[in-house]
Amino acid sequence: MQPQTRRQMLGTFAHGFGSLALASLFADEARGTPDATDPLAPKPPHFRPRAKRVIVLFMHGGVSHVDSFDPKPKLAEMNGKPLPIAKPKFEFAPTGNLLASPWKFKRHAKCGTEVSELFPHIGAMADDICVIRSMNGGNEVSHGPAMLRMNTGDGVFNRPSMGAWALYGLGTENRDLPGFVSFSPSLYHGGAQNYGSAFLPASFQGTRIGDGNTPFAKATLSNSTPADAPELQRLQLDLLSSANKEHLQKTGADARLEARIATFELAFRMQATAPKVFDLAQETKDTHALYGVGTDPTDEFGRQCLLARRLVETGVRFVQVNHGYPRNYWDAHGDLRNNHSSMAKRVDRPIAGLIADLKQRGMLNDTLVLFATEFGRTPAAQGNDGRDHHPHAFSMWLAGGGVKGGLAHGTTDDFGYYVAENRVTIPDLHATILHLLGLDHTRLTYRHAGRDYRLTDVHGEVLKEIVV
Amino acid sequence: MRTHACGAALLLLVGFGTAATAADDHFEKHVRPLLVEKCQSCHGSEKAKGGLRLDSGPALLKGGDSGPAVAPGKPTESLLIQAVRQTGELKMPPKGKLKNAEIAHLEAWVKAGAVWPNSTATPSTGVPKTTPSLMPVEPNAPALRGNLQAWYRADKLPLADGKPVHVWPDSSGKGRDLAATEGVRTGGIGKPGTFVANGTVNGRPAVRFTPETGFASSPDAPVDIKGDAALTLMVVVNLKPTESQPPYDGILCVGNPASPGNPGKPKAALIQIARTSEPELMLAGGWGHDASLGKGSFATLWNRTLVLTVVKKPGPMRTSTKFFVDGVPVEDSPLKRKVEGVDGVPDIQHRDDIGLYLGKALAWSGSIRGDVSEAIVFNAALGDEQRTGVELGLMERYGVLHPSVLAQSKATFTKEQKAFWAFQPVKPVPLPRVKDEGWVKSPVDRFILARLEAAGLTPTAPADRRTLLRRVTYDLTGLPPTPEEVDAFLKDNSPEAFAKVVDRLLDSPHYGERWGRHWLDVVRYAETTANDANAVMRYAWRYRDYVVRAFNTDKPYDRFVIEQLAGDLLPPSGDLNRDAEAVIATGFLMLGPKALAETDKEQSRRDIIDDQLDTTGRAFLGLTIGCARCHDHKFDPIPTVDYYSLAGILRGSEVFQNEVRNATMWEERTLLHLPGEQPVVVMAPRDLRPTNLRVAIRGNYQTPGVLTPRRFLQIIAGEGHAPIASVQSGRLELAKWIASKDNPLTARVMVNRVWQHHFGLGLVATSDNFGERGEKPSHPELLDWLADEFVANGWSVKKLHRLVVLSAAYQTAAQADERALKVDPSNRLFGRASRRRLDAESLRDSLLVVSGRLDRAVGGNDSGELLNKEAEDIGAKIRPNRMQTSHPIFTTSTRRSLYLPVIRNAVPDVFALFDGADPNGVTAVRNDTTVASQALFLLNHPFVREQSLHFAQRLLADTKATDEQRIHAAFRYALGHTATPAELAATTKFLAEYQKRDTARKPEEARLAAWQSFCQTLFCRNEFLYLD
Repeated sequence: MQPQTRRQMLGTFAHGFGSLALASLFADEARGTPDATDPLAPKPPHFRPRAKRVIVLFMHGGVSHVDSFDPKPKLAEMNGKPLPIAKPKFEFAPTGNLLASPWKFKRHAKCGTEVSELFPHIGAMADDICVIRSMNGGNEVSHGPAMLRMNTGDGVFNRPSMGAWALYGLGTENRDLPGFVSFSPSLYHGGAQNYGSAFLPASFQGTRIGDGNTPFAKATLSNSTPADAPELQRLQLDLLSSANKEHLQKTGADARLEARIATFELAFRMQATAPKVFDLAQETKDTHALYGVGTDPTDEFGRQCLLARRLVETGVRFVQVNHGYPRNYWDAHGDLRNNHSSMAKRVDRPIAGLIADLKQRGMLNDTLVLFATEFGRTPAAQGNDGRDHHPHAFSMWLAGGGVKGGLAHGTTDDFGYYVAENRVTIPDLHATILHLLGLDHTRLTYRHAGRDYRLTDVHGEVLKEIVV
Repeated sequence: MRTHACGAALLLLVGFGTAATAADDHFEKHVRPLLVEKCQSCHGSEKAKGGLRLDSGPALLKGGDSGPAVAPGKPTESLLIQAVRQTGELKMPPKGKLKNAEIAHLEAWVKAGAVWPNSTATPSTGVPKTTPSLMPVEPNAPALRGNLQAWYRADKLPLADGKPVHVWPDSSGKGRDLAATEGVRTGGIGKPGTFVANGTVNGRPAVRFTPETGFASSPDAPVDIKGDAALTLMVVVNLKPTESQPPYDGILCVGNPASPGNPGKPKAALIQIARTSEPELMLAGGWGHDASLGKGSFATLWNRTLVLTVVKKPGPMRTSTKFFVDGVPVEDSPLKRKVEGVDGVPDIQHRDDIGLYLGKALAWSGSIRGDVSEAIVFNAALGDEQRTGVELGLMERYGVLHPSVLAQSKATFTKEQKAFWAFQPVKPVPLPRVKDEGWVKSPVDRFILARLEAAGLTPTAPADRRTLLRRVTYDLTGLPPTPEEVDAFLKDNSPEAFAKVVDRLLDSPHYGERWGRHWLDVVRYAETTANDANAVMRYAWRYRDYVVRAFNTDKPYDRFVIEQLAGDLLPPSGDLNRDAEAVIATGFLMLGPKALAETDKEQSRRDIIDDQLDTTGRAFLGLTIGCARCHDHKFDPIPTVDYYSLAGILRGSEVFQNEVRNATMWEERTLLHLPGEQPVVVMAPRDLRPTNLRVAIRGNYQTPGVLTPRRFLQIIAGEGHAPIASVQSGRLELAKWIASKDNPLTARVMVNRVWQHHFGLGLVATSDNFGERGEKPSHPELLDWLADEFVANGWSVKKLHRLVVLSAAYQTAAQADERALKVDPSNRLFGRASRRRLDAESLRDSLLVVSGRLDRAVGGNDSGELLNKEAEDIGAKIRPNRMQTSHPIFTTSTRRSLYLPVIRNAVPDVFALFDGADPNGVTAVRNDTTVASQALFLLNHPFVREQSLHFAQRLLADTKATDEQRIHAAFRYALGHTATPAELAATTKFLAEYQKRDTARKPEEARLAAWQSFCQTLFCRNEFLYLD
């Protein structure tokens, strides 16, 4: 009996059979087509990549831009006065008069980029960072749609997340670990959809480690704790393996059956690998100190950043570190001062430590780090001392992975209400991330319900100005 | 990195009937852009170097000075290819060379025949895309304001439903407020009307008139219409036959109509119904001067929403007066009336005691009975354009269709579009002839065999009985056969043995659970709302149980469709339970994801409707109607006007409790409340009123385009077919249209789903997309034959199952010979069974069956109540979900999988890892992936370990058995057969070795652990995980 070749067997799958068959023939399209037996196998990008891996540091709740990365002296000048221009049509709730920032801004490093007192350590790394002050999230004024939009490209429809697209386009290098991991994602505001695969095959979904409700210290990879002593499991796997091989004799060659046999061996290896990777005790004391591990209040986020470095170092493609609801939340509708102060203290040193660590290991050049949030906050006050959701202009930053450091891209008006120059939409950001990974966002498509979808849908321009 | 040959393999792998689409894709993606970018600047419409143009198929074939550019099918002989390869004298492009991949694409295209597709991506539907020049105009628009004399709107009355209307303010700004004249005016005896919030004028607000009702304006501000002045009167009414005393029933009067005792010269313009033996509608000037629509004309106009316009120029009554009904001159309307009457020239005068009036205002006048929503008076004879503008506004406000609406939204499809296979009616199909009659068990086999024989193939031998039993038991119930069932089948050598098994399985309540779950995939079933709040829908489970019952009772599929779309609108059947079922079914419309945080009320309704339409299209019709929300469908003949025609039908129902305010809580209704029992509360929509929507340009409702009528898809129901006339939302009509045997898609789509679940692949592989970008049917005649039989059998799904599984084709083995693998590698010809992995639910349920722990109870509210209990109580009805995938229920529950809570964005591992449906959207075909995380789950997840433990305990509970017997029992439970000698030996060896090495446990525990471990390996085996 002639064995079914992979190509023949590809045809039996029910994810886009016809187009899959045709698409699989052409090398450049095959890049985007998951091999059903080994969907996570590494694939070459469309062109030379700058970044081989991505770490997203996601600050959930909305980091106020005018208090962090976008200095607005006018706010101090006009503190308590009404905004002289029209407020946006789409706001979450009514706001009052302008509110000065409780924090001072300072120029940092050689490039002199201004960062507020909230982030002294990140500020010190300004030469490695490209701040984008002109982010515009459209009209998404609620957490859920804004989160979904940032993570998946759309606030309403069910779309795959950034990490899922990255895996779909590139596969992953370390087959002993999941290719896309999300630390402590919030269960709210889209929950698993923020790291999900939507209509892409489930193999590209993110693997959650911990969640927003649980302290990170005890988090491990799902189902990776051996249910029995490894030695005994080995016996089990040997029995399984020989039974499967015999079965294969009866059925004849079948690529899927063979692939499944392989997954058990792989799982066994993952069990051994994961605890090692997750064991932070393997790092030096200096490294711990660099990340703030072992000290309050930086211990938890420090662990997450350190683990993120360890994961990408072993070949994991995409790691999202969430600082999220309910235990960590930047949503300062009131008490801005205390909220942002305490949140920033938790993350400032760890993030700077991450960048420094990547740098000293020679990894920063090909590791893209993104500091993200779902929207900014209104320059006008909410209540006495808070700020409301504000997607019309906000700040994020990128570092490494082919991004120019020491740069501040885009500007907002005097108040931080609207973008003045070089507006960056979320599709633009996504297009740029894919570009840095060596993927053309218009060519990384997946046929679903009769049309070719992509992360950027029908939008997005690569920000060539910020690429090295 | 895989490498693939191109060219020849292209034709080999492309499935039957898909060549055209895939090749067109290839051309559009890789060839046309290349020609445009790299060649057409010199070889196109501007220049034609060498006499050659490369911008059309004919041009290529014609070629230039050197001859034809391509020899179809022969790249090496094609000049184009030679030129781009640049191996000879001719090198193109002149400055540089194409990339190797680009050259390869051109070669592949030429080899495949150099087909240049005729149509471009967007099929034209002949429907105007731009906004119409005719837009609605309000009566007080600047151009009309000067002539506006009075304007009365019931929807502006600040009254509660049922309250009396004493005063009706004038919205024209001219101060001619109406008041009920009773005791107010000299001789005035008109009583107040009643405000009705949902009147008979298409459910809109109105003032209800009885024969006693009458209003008048003050004579101190008479309208500026005197003598033979021009005028335009408009009323929006729904009139009933009346029985009042006077010889006429008045609607609206300007001037003095004189009195019975004073025949004199008529001095008024009065819209009235003259109560002759056959009542007539007329504009009366008073005694004997009128312009009438003739005897019996009133009967054609009563009991319906009526937008009536009367325009009179100066001159004789009959010849100067024009009537328009719903914007159409009466001569041209279906009424086909000519204006009759008597000629006299009016001399409108005003009385001292009364201004203009509505209804009965004077002792001798009479009122109509009916609802009046709006009345307008102009002192000019409005020209057609102005008049139409105001009528458009009125008609849109009251849900009546202006004739221009039909013209503007009529599509014109091409012959090609109309000829598309999926839109052709299903016709009876003759059974094909085959050579090997002996193989045929069911008519299905003829279709399969005919194609196999044509391809020179023979079907694979039948599957062995054990394999067959396992396959059909999973297919029909999602559970493995028990050892007893296996034995019984193997012993039964009668020819009906298999048929009896099928009957047994179809009669099992587990059948409804299995096929109910397939249906839940398609309708995006979930119990939380997703998005921001991810609120708990506490009663969603009722819909789930409804679906299970529907399949178990073999509810006719057409009835199933109608109930889900419009069960709440069906007339009462007399059977309370049956009626309740029908309402529960409408959960289908209520179940979608909802962005409760959406602050724009209209936007949230539009998003809900989009989900409903998208799901309805893909679930029932196999069409991606949702694509037409923002523009004409790019591939299928579904213009955006059709989307909005359907959206209007859905907009006529309300999903949320508060129609006026923003999205808060969705509708819930108590259906039955029997004493001593929990009330049956369900999620069901509330029908409001007929609604017509305007196209939302680019999907943005704030930039409206043409108004659309409520109707169906024009490609199926006919270009410009008549709109729905229903006084309800129209959902029932829509449901019946979809569920009709004459709808070409409905039966085909369902039949295809059933085939897909039995064979692993549909006849149409893309079972939720029968459109142009979907796959064509591999066996179009078989598909039609099955669809025809399905309908002929009363839409019975169980009968359909029998047709399919009792065929020889279903009963083949999964093995294939060399030739079959070569000719039909993907088994599109269904010459053999397809090996399939157990889906997530079957896997979990199987573990419970084999461990002996399965709770076989059917249905119930556990999931809803549990979610509700766990939900965050913020004191409101909306309770955000709090339940996480780590909740113990997902590990400890022993119920069948479909009864576990379905939480959007929180799918537990056992489903997420094994390609369970994502409850956020329609899943027509599940994936079948093979990844290491599945293996980790099977090795380490507490649920698997626990079931393995119970399985082991079950075996060891038989204290009298030997280990050998236990091993055989284990294999029988899990795999349906006893262990082979080799399996027995390996297992025995394993058990011994395990216990030897297990130094951490005490001997008795180690023994149990060893058996547990062995049992677990049974669950991990390919033989267990895959169905042959």
